[in-house]
Amino acid sequence: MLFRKRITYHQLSDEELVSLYRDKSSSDIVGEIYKRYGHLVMGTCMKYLKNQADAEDMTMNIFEKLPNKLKNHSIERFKSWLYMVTKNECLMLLRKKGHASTEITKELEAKDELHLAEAKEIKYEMLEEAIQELKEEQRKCIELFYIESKSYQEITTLLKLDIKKVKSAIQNGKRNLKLTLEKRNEFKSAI
Amino acid sequence: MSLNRLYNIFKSEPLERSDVEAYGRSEDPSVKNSIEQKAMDDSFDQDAMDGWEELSYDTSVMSNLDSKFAPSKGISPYKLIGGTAIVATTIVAVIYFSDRPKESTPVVATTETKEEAPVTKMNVIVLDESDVSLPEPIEQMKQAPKEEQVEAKQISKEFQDIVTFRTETPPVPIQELPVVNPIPVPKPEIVRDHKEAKEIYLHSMKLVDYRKYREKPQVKTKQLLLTGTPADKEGEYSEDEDPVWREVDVPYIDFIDKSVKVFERGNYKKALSRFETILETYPDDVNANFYAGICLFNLREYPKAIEYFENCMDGKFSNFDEEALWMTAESYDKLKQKSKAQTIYQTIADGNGFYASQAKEKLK
Repeated sequence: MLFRKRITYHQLSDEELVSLYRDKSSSDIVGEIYKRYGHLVMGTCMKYLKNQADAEDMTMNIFEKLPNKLKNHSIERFKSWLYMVTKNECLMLLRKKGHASTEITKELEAKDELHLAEAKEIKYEMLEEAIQELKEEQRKCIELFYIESKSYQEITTLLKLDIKKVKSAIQNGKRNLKLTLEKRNEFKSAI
Repeated sequence: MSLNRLYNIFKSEPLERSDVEAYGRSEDPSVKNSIEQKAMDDSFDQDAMDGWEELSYDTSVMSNLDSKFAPSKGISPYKLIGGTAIVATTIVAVIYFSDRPKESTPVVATTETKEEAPVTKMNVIVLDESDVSLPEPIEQMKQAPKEEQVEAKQISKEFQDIVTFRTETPPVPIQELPVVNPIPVPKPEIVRDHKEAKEIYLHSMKLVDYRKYREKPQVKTKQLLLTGTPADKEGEYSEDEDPVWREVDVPYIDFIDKSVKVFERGNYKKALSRFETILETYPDDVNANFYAGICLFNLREYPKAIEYFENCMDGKFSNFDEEALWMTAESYDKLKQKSKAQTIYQTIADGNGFYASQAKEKLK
């Protein structure tokens, strides 16, 4: 009995967890969310606040406020919502301290991944073609990273590029691939 | 073929806390790549990884937060007490009954002790003898300065290099071996019937896998079981038993695993005492002889180190011969016994082994 409840939390999707929390507020649910995202929140706070103590306080703050927010906000995609909340809180603190002039992001981050259903329709050839259409630098980085499973460090050495460049080339390459593939899928379904 | 991997581009796998931790620990590019791929999922993961980089990927900094939001990994305190109690009673019962196997069945014991267990026995910590004290002679040894030590990192690198070296240069057939100059060798050459054994790597250290050659290999050692009552649970009824040393048999592989780990961290005294414990049970153990030799070398006990390296080469298996011979020469070199060192360097240089070029370098 006692164990069954935990197993079900564990198996639920983020969105299911959130809607369950609206019905019955249980700290176990927040615990499960913390387990899934605590380290992402902490890492992101660290990135923006550059200070371990601040990052810790901020993470604490975010998870303390979470129950209230879960009840009062309609949340579509939990992970990107939490990312936005985390970023906002950090930026607000930085603003208070007078460090940041950045506007608070109101938009949700664009989804990076394709939906599974879409992904299944993509054929190897399409993907391969799309990769060939990428710019040289992005193509090389994508191939080394995804096909040859090279780490950032290895790619940095191989291509004699800065590690930041490698990361953004992979990121942008991936986004471009997605755009290309989506266009083709639309085109296909239009016929 | 590898095109299959292309699908990874749009696969989405959660980046877990253990991934963060593993990313910091691992040197393996393929491990790093798989975690980097997970982190490529979205900007949240990427930002988090950037932040963790500044914290050196040490997730233990979250322990305060954990205790607040995920107490004991999500298990409620009651379940925790219950769970620990069951584990503790089982351990206590097993030990109790392994001492007196014929009195009654352990099943009964578990139910009997369950009631009182949560109060008196919360945690059991097992300490090996080497965790508590080291034999006096070892305690008094002095570590060699860093630059004179042979560190675990270097040894494990050489293990790999030797493997590559051997695959690249096949051994010269016996007939073609160069005739060694008739310089009198200090010890008569022992012709050994001695072969390569199956190897296993633990903590990237080479070991002969004795599980293949010994029936149920076990090491006799002493362990201390610490059972404690947490301060807040302490009452007038609880009384801690004094911890008692018990003679136990630990599976060889477990014992050597911990020993190699201690060695790898550079705690040579503790490692040495553990390898000596193994040698008490298995005097000809090539693993223990070789690593104990390295420990002694790093503790500047060169004559003793030489003894161990020679024991290692005299052992049944030849897996460490090249390394041990090289280390013997290095030890004589440190002892300033130049002629002995030279003779061995010469032998190594005349062979076509991995250390031949280094030995030639030394002879110059």
